[in-house]
Amino acid sequence: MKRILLIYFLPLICALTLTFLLAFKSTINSSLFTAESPSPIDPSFRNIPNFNDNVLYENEFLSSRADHETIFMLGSSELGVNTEATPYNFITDHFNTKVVGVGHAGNQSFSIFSQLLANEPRLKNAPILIGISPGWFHEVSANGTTSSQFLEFNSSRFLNSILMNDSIDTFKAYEANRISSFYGEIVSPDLSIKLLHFKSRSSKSFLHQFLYAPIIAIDDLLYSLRSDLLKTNSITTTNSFERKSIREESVVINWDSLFTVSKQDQLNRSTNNNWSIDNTYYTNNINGKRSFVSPVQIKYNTEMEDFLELLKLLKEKKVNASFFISPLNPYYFKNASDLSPIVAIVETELKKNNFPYLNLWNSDSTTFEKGILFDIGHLSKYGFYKVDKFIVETYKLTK
Amino acid sequence: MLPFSSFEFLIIMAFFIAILVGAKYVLKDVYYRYILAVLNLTFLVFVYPQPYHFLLLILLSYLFTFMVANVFKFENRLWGILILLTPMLLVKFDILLYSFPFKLNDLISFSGLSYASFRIIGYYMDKAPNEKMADPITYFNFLAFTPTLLIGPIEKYSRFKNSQDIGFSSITTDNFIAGWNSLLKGIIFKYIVAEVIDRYWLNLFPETSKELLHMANNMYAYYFYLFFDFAGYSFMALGIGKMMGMNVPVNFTNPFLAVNPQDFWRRFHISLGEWLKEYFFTPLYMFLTRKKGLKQYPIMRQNIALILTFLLMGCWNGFKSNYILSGVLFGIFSAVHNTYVILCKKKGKDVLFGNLNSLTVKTISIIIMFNLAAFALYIFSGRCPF
Repeated sequence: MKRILLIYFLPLICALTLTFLLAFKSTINSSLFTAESPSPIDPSFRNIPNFNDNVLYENEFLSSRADHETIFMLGSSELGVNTEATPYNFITDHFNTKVVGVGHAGNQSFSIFSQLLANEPRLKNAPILIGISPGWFHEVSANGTTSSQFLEFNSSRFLNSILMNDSIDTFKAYEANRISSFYGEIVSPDLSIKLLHFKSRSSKSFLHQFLYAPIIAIDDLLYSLRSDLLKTNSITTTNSFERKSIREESVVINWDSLFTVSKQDQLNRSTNNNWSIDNTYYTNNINGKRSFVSPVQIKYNTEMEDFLELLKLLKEKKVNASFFISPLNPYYFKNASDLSPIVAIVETELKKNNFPYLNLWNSDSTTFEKGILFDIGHLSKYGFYKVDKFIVETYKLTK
Repeated sequence: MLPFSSFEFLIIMAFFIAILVGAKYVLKDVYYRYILAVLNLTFLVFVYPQPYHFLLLILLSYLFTFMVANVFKFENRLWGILILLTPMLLVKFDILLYSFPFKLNDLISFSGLSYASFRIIGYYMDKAPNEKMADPITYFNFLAFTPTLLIGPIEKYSRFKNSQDIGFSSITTDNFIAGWNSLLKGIIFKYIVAEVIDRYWLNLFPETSKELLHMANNMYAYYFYLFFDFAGYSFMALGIGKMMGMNVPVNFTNPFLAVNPQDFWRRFHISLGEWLKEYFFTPLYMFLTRKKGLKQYPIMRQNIALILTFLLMGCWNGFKSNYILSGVLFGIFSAVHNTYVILCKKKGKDVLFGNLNSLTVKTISIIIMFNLAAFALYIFSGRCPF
């Protein structure tokens, strides 16, 4: 008995004592749990590829600046196409109202939904443009945002906000169920993810509730302890939640000229093929090979489910949202038209909810506008100018 | 939640242990398997992410084993093995279904399938043709025992059953302390040592670097990481198993001190080494022995069997070049060592070290084996830039 006490229980008691000291003695806390100061971000930033790089981007998300409103453009890989025509460059260069891009490949509907839900207090009237790629609804992408992409855009702070916000219970349940669906793939999940997952599991039945109750109780305790520890060190936002009105400006843009020049420019760049694909991209990746789309039926299409939930959130929270739908290159994708029924559903839902949108989808190779894409599914400068025009008209940036 | 994926799993295990300890005082040994089955089923249904997959595998494997062993009574067991291995083979081949935009793996793959498949084959191979089928409850426990569900060790049915039959009696203070000891060892290995290696050593240099020193660092770091991570899991499983009254076999005993490939597999992932020896190497060697053309080449027979055995081990991890190459490397190491041992026996002396004293030979052997194992596992890791 003495041996057991010395070898096993004494170290355990020491460990527990130390833990409690760390948890409740504020002087020890502050020296050990002082948050690392993030390096300052360039105030003129235009694109946030993800929220992992710098925690300060989280504060900037969906906030307006002191002197002007900011339109947030959310989407996936198209945001990585950094040209003078990309909205976060073009609009920002020509207007006082700015556009900030958020996302890169994989930032699909559920990831966007979660980012917005985490910032629910900032949603009302927030000008948000979402770029929808029909590619989200086919092949494995139709399974929805992957766990790794989700974590890149949804930090523990964002998830904490969701967890603590009681005014979003119906959306919170959806969030928890979706997190639960890929919980097993997450290595070392954060306490907030664990709690969302366990609460989702717990809601399945009375037996689930009974079994998960002790785990949730322990995690809740740990969560509140952690919240107390981090409270004094949390980074507070100075950005305004109040929306600024978008001012109409006397900027004259010759859209026709921009369209003509940029379209010709794209055609000049694609001389080694008839599919209006950039020469280098064509040589390196295509070389005459064609592919096909594999649309996923609606009943199996998690991405569509996520998208509909996203629309519900935007509608309920009165977001000033708009959308654009990118095309896929029908010369490259033999059966691009197989995705048209899904795009039609997307369009119908946008119409039904009165969200303005720009639909660039065209799967017919005989009428497809060459030069709108620079590769197989990303907008060229010409394509982006069309989006720029849509933003200017939708958000009334000019007089 | 997968076993050992977070500390909450340990809380669940603590409840399971408490229930079994409590039950010990009111129930006889014969009821142990029922309590264990209820606990295993509870974990599968309420906690495990894909319960239907696992339950279906258990049910189908039981039915198919009954069909191939008791109804069709295949003389050539290979057919039975192939039938029982079908789910794992389909997963390992990573088949894309063109008519349906998902991979087959998205539908039938689940964590723990490989270990369950090995246990199923082990049971089928051990079962005599006219022997009665296992009692369904014990068979379920054998495949679904929570601490070993995900990462083994690979149990033998007979050993598991014997341990289960005296389950309540095995819940003693001594076993509890031994289990607690193993659990702590596993926690330290997995959550402290492996974690530190992962954070501060494993990623010191980029995987893509082709500089010799960087590659050497990555190779040794991975070997240590793999050992502490995997052995950590195994010790935790062993510890929890012991506290629950089950005798889970030891899976790792100081592999860094192995003096030759055979010795290495008696120390590293022991249950896999034993499984391969018993259910693949020995039957294969017997089969080759019966081949007329190979009768006069005993060394070649052994070496072919060795290389094919380790090739199978590589393939079991997945049909990827790094796994297969790593398996072949271990096979070659074993074949070379086997040849060396036979030559030494024939000549009546050590053909490589001559009269060198045994301590020096042992030290040199450990160094060589350590580096060979580290190299083969470096290839296995897929982190080698070539």
